[in-house]
Amino acid sequence: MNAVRRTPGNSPSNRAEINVDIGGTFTDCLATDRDGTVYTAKALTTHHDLSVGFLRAVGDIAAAAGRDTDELLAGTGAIRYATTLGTNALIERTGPRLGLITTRGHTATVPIGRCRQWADGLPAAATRDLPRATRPQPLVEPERIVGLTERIDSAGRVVIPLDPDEIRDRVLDLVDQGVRGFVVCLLNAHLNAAHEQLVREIVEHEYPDSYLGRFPTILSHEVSGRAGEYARSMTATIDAYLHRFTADRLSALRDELRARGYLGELLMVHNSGGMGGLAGTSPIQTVHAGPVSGLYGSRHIARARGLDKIVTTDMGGTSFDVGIVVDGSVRFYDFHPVIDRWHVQLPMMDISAIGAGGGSIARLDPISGIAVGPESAGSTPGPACYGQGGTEPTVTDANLILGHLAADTYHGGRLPLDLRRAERAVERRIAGPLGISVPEAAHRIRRIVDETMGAEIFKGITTKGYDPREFTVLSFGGGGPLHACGYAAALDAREVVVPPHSSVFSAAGAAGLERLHIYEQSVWMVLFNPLTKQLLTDVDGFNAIVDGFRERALADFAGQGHGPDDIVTAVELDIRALGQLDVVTVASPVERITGRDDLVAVLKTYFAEYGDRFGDLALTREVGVAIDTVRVRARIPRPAPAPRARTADGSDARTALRGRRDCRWGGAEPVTTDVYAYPALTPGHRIAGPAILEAPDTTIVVEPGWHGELDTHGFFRMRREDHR
Amino acid sequence: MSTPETTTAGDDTEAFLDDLLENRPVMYGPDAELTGEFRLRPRTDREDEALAAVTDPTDLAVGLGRVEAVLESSMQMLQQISASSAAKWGDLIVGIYTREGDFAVATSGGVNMFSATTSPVPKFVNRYWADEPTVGLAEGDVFYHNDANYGGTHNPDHTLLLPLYWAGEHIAWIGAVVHEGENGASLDQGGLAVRATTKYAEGVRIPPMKIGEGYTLRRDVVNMFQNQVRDPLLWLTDIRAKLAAARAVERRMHEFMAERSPELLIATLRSVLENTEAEVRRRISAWPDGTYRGVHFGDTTLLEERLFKLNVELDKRGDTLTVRTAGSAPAIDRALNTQAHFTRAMVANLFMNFLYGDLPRTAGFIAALDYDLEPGSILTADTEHPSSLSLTTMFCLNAALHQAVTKAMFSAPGPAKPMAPWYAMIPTLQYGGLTQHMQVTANVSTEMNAAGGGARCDADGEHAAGPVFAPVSDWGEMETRESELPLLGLWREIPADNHGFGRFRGGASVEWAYMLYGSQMFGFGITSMGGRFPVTAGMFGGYGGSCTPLTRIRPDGGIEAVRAWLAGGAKGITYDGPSMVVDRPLPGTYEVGNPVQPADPVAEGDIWIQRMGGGGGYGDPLERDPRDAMTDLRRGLISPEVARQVYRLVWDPQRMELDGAATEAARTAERADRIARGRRYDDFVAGWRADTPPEHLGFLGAWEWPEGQG
Repeated sequence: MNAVRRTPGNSPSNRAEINVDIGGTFTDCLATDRDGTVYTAKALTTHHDLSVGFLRAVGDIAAAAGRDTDELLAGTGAIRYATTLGTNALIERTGPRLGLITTRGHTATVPIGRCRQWADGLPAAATRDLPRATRPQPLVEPERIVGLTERIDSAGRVVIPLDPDEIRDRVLDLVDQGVRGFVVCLLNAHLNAAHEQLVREIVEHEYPDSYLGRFPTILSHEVSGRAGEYARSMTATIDAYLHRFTADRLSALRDELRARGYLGELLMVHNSGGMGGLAGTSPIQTVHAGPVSGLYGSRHIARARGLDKIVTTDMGGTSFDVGIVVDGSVRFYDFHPVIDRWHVQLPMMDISAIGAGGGSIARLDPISGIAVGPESAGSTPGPACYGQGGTEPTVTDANLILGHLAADTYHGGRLPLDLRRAERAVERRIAGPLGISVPEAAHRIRRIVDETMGAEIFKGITTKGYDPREFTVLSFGGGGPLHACGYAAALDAREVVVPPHSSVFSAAGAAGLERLHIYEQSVWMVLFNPLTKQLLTDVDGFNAIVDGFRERALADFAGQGHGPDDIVTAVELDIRALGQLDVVTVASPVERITGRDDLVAVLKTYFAEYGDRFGDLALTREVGVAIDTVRVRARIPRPAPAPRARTADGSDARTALRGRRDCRWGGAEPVTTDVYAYPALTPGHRIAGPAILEAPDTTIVVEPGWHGELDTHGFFRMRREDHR
Repeated sequence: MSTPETTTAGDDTEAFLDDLLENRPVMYGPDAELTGEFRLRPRTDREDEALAAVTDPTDLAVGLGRVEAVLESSMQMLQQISASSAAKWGDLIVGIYTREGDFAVATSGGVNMFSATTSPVPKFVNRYWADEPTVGLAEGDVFYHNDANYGGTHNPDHTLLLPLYWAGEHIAWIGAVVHEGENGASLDQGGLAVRATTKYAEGVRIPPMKIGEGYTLRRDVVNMFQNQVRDPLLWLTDIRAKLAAARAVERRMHEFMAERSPELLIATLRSVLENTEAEVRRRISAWPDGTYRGVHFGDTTLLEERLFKLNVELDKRGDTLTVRTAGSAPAIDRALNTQAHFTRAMVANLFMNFLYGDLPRTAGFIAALDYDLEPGSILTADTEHPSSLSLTTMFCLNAALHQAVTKAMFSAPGPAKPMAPWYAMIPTLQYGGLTQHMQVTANVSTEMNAAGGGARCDADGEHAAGPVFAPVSDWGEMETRESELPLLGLWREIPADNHGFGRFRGGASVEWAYMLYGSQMFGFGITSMGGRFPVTAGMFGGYGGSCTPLTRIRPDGGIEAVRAWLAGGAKGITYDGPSMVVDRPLPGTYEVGNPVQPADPVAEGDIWIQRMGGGGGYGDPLERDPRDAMTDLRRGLISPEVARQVYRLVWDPQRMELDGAATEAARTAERADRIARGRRYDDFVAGWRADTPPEHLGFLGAWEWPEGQG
């Protein structure tokens, strides 16, 4: 597909490493050879057989390294693999027919989805429109949800016992409907799993493998230890829904790699920011793993560059993804994420998305004059300037009119753009009706989309209780660097950084991942109650949960060849004020509670985090607090890949100058603007805006009033001249 | 002896008397001029100046985007830190008002109608307290309010206000509004005073007042509030939470003004108000001119069964739409009365949530319409009437409003979608007492958020999709509720026939059943309508929703008997209220009645069963695609009786498969029967019309249309 890029290295290793991110369109690959040389390659994703596209990219890299593919694989120590294909399987509804077994009296839980299900996963604008409220197509049709007469209460006691004969009848009902897998979610099973386990025993007894094949019986308490029957049901359902994807397609890829000489483990990137072997990966952990891999890569950049607060921005053709990384904080996790249209329970790195990309369509708006997105022209027909039939004005059309994109260098010249079509679309839909010039309309479109993206970043940061001005904006993806100065200015952020390997940034992020297991259990443990003057009473219960999780971590990692000394654990607590619903997650200062000092340390940590996040005005210590969830994070530390420094050669940035063209920056007249070849920049090159830096897969715009400099590690750092 | 000085009636005398008679009110009561104001205030000089300072119109879009982002962020924060169960699940709003007090931008989520009804609150502060020497207005002041006679919806909705200053200039107001679950009513816990016959039984009534300075709450004032209510922790937490949210908005607005300018903020607020009003008018002008009517009824005064009438007439001419309510029930000494500003807000709510959801939530919506609300009615209560349950009246009004509006706009082009009324009522559990964790609580449960959606002109309604007043709301999860409260949720299921039938059926809702479990000091209550007369109306031949009475079971032998029954497998349990009443699998007392019960103590083991209603149907059920009706039957959404009698469906009961040909034949036969049953219009009127209500029927409101409209 693309040419392989090769960056000489100086960090030799015994084994090569390969990191891959399989997306819906491209398979991105970043490999580090034994001599430290970094290769990047892209190939088209081959949906019928993932190994084809993957091996094509690896083959390109092997050829660039002067070896054949099998030789490269045989000498490779680790393959880390992130994919968004689980997400695609969900969106396309290509999973198996499932049956859901739940507590009788609560079979409407999933179809109703906490009432708000119709809005989950939709852009905010769509959630304002009640007359068009429409739930997504369910993963389990209502006919295939059955109830069992049983009940466990909130203390885990059996209130109504479960009759095995009723299980047999209900399972038979589902089998008669042709289900190929069972999801079992009974109320309060996270506190007492006996009934769920009984269901599995009977299913396995009545319908052995020979009958049902390899289709699963997923018990909800095994995928989540947390309260919340809807989200736990959906977590288990998605796990079952993607079971075949993991079991078949990824196993086939692993087998193919083995056949080609790779002797190591296929390490799956998890959406928690960790990774694990295929056997230790539940399917739902692979969803959104690609973007998370990029976000995780940002953590290393943040640490290595001494940046403690980073917001990652990835602008593609249709969407703009935002993630936040703050060193030492757990606030960048979403413990109640929405996957596709479904609320689930798993700790996932928090990435929000809005419909703002190159293909986003501009339209007139009665209130704001012009609005951009979330509707997108996508890649087909695409922006008007693609000349593929699109007639609506898009962000890409505006950028072309402004000169920020060039008709002949877009996508490395592979996709010529038609300026006339872009102008016609903007004239017809925007400029004409508003009575303004086409360049003025294009400028407004660009401002609106920059501000829209800036507002999304602003919301993401302030909702977590941070000040946006303290953040560095990390920009990648095809469109990010093109708009980064604009949305960073909207945010009043201090700096924009474009990382090296930005076009395969998610794959690059996987290089720094660690093996990670997260264990969680919902509890109700009152830390103090002002009414009864009571402090935590069930200290032993708390410690038993932590100890139990540690034992599970030992067992899980032992299976992967790691002993107790390799494992590092940390305890996190979800704590809430009595009466509140939402929790505040804190990194516990102690792993076990052995006395009043430990208790006080936990309380002080909570109060400090609460005050920091919401302000001291909101802190009501008088109401008492309770632990809602105990979480243990167990990982196997490994050194992060050290960024490889290059020395400045003392040359002038003008060595990379490729020409000049007229660009518009908001004034009435165009400005002749320098255009640089981004790959030709070397460390120390400093460029003052306005300037355009072109690379085959992206364009970096240095706006007037900004300057940028390539540092010794390949990061292009842009700052506003007048910034504090 | 001295001679008295001769005095003449000069200026001093008049000034003295004016001061004596006019300027020394006994108290600063509700100001009818302020609460009656629904037009936008005229532009101020400062607003003109600010708008003139904006040379690039894109700046206004930028300003609006930033303000909305700030408000959304703060509302999310408020939801996270509020202790009100209603707020946690969506019954709140954060917004910004102009300096004059018009509500300019609100969060897109939450309770939109707060943006249409709380403007009188900052206006009151501006008029009465800003220059009052003992109160005053300065940066850092904190104001609070809940008395609906001064603005707002009903007393459980509390508004906290901060004035927004920049460089010593008062720029705007910031508001945080939350529905609080306990309001200190003398007899009824939970904020909704079922038994109130005067406003003095409805608990704490706070006129707009200053409760803090320098961003610091007066602890003695808050303590006074807490002293009036059953859940002082809730009040303490939430007053602080609202202040924190408002303060967060203030901080971000300060940053915005420093970065851009105060003029841009002022201009943004003004332009969004004016643009919203203009756009609503423009869209209305596309509707055909005419008069459109709707009528609906409530079925209880809270203390006795009565039908009370809610009459709506829309008069549309050009871009002017006048809402009239003549003929509606008179005001009464029950908590159902509604202040006129809430009635107007309910109209705005319909426009915001069901017609023009793409526009910002602002006071521009109510400003775009005209109102002719009959004085002395239940929709125009005076300041002495009790009104804490005004929302139930408003929900009944909603059915009449939505019918009339759909008639008016169904043929007009535009973004609005014609549809049948959404279910608009809140038969939800109110509770209070001591939990199993020895925590005192009083609040409302969130099953109210499971309202069924109205059928659309081109699609069925959505099941349990949210209340009419807050588009994206949540009812939480049973496990979470049980872990916090002494409840056992026996079921939350969609029962058969719990929606309006039609060519497109309404969305269904659930029946919930809760048992008190784990506490001996706890009360249940419910305040709703629809036990006798359905809350939801149908549209163009579609059926209305079903009635939703309350069923209460008090088991013989108390909780021990219930435990034994459950442990024995809950023999005979049907997970359905009506059949439980018929079968009585658990020995005890079964009561079925209106869903109106004060929140009084119940015994552990008592079970309350209640349905939320479904949305109205749209169009003739005989036009429903038989395959869709068959799917409804298969999924238990309709009973076999409804399938046969309403949809004229014929199917194989063994295989549950549709017999298409037989169904078509049955429908053809029914159409012929309809023609046979038909009568001339005059004959129908003669047979249908009665000059008075039936004697057995308690009825409030005009029996006939006003003269000339019959």
